[in-house]
Amino acid sequence: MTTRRDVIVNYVILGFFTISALYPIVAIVLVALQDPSQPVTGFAIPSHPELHNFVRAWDIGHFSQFLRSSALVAIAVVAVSSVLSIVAGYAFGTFRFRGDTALFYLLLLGLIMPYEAVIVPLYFDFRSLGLTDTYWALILPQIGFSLPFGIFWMRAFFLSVPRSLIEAARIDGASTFATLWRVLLPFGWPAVLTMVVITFMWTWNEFLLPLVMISQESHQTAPLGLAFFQYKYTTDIPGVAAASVIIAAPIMLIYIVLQRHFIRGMLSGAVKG
Amino acid sequence: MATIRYESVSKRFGETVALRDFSLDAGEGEFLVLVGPSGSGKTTALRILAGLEALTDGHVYIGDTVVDRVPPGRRDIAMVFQDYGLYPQMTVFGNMAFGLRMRKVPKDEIVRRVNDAARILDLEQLLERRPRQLSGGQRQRVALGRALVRQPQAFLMDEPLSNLDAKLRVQTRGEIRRLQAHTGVTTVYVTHDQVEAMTMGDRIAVMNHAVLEQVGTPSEVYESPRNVFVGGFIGSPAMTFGTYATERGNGSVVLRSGATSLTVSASDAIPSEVIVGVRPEHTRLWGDREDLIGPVQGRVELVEALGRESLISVATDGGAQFIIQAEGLVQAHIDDVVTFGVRRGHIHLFDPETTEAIGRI
Repeated sequence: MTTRRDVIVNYVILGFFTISALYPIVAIVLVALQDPSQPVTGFAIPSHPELHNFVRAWDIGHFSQFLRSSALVAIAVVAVSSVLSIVAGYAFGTFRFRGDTALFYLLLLGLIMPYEAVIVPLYFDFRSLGLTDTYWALILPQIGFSLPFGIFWMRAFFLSVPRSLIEAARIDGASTFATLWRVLLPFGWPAVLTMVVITFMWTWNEFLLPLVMISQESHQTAPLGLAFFQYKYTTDIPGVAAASVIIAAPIMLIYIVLQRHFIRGMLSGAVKG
Repeated sequence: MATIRYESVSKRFGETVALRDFSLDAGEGEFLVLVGPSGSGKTTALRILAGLEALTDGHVYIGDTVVDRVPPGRRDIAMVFQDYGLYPQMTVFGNMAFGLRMRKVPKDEIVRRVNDAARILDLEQLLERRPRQLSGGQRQRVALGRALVRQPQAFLMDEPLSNLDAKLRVQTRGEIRRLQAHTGVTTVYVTHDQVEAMTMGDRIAVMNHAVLEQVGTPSEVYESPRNVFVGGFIGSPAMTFGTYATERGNGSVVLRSGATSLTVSASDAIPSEVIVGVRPEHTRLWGDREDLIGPVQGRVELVEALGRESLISVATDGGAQFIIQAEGLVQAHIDDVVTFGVRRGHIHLFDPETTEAIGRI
């Protein structure tokens, strides 16, 4: 029985978390609308909403160039790491092979290790290969960094699939690939899309790696554009805020489009993973 | 249609033996039931035949071909799973057609075969639905249909009725049997339910602890159980057992357990101690004036009035247990003392050391 009191308590709790999630976002958007000549004082409704900040931020932050780099890197990383995560997760989740457990734990190590620890040696490795200041220096490491999570995630999905489904497909004469492609993936899209959204978000927001690997402006990604709003003695707060909104927009858009699947993916992972 | 043969098949999972020296044949078009309690190895035997599990020793034949290392998709068998294993994103038609598509059967042939199967199984109205829009019984029929359209060498069924309610189970039991007789496809059927085994199988194979205990027609296994396990497992309500000392008289043998004694005529050698097994339908109230051995007196422990008959569980002074089957509704109460006997020719004797059957008197 849900009593009236339960309903009220539920709404209070949900309301609290909604506000704490939305507050920073709303604050940033409001700041982005402030007049840059006025001093900004925390959470304030702008008296004259100023859309011009976005136009300014677009130019100062080189976003026409940087967003293109970001998109290129993110799409490449997501595409390659998703395919690899799906096939590796399929192997870990449905086959038994020699050393599978040991190999899986080795992968988990990648999930535990703080990646800041490897970034400096990684820089020297890439420099000796002559790959710094190329997109490869952003794409290859981030594929590597996203695989432990991706494989872990897809393995959980494949483990949650009823065994009889895979066996029925085998008896029906489906090859290993046909079983994956025609039987398992068609109802595994929520899990795959969830992984895609998370990987995309991580790649898109990555700051440290491009900062270390890239010095040419032509290859820099959007988060680095934020540095242009930091002057010697001052910071262009409304400009930074507008730039942040611009950077976050594509992710918001992807999330909104895919959110139904995303929630379903998260839930199925949570319950059965 | 093909014959199926297991030749000394063993399966080990690490230290655990799931199947030990298992040999069994199924003739062309035969309906063979593997029955046993959980963990008896019956499902392992079926999965080895399907190719879903590799065997450790021995050989499996489908027809004249050794299939030990043939992948499941090339064994030309169809399997019905306990949870049906239907593809959730495909329609009923898609589910049934999938195996044929994978085998590159021409499109019009697929449509023809699926429609035929749908007609037989009364699924014609449901072809465009998805599994989650179907009831349990309908899903079950789709799973059967998926096997049927393949026109395979053999049907393998792994407890296909266990997710259905009691009434539907009885109905589907008949349907599967009719379907099998109609198609004539050799079928290996796994169940833990001895009623299912008795009513469906041409022959039944009783398994326990990874070992095949007995194979035979339902009546053979029922009337002449090879050992105590088979006697107790097949038949409902179950055979009752007691350990008796034997005393040889002139031309007769007295079986004695506490104050209970049964005098039987026996010419063969009988060991000094035996396990006596008696089925409820052969245990009658003394007044029934059949050819009974007894009288035996026992105290009533439980009365189950089923309408057409009543089952009275009794314990004798010596501690032996019997279940008496009596006609109609019987007025008996707990702790009443009743007098009963056992029908001549229906006392099963087992060796207490080996639990193997000695004979029936």
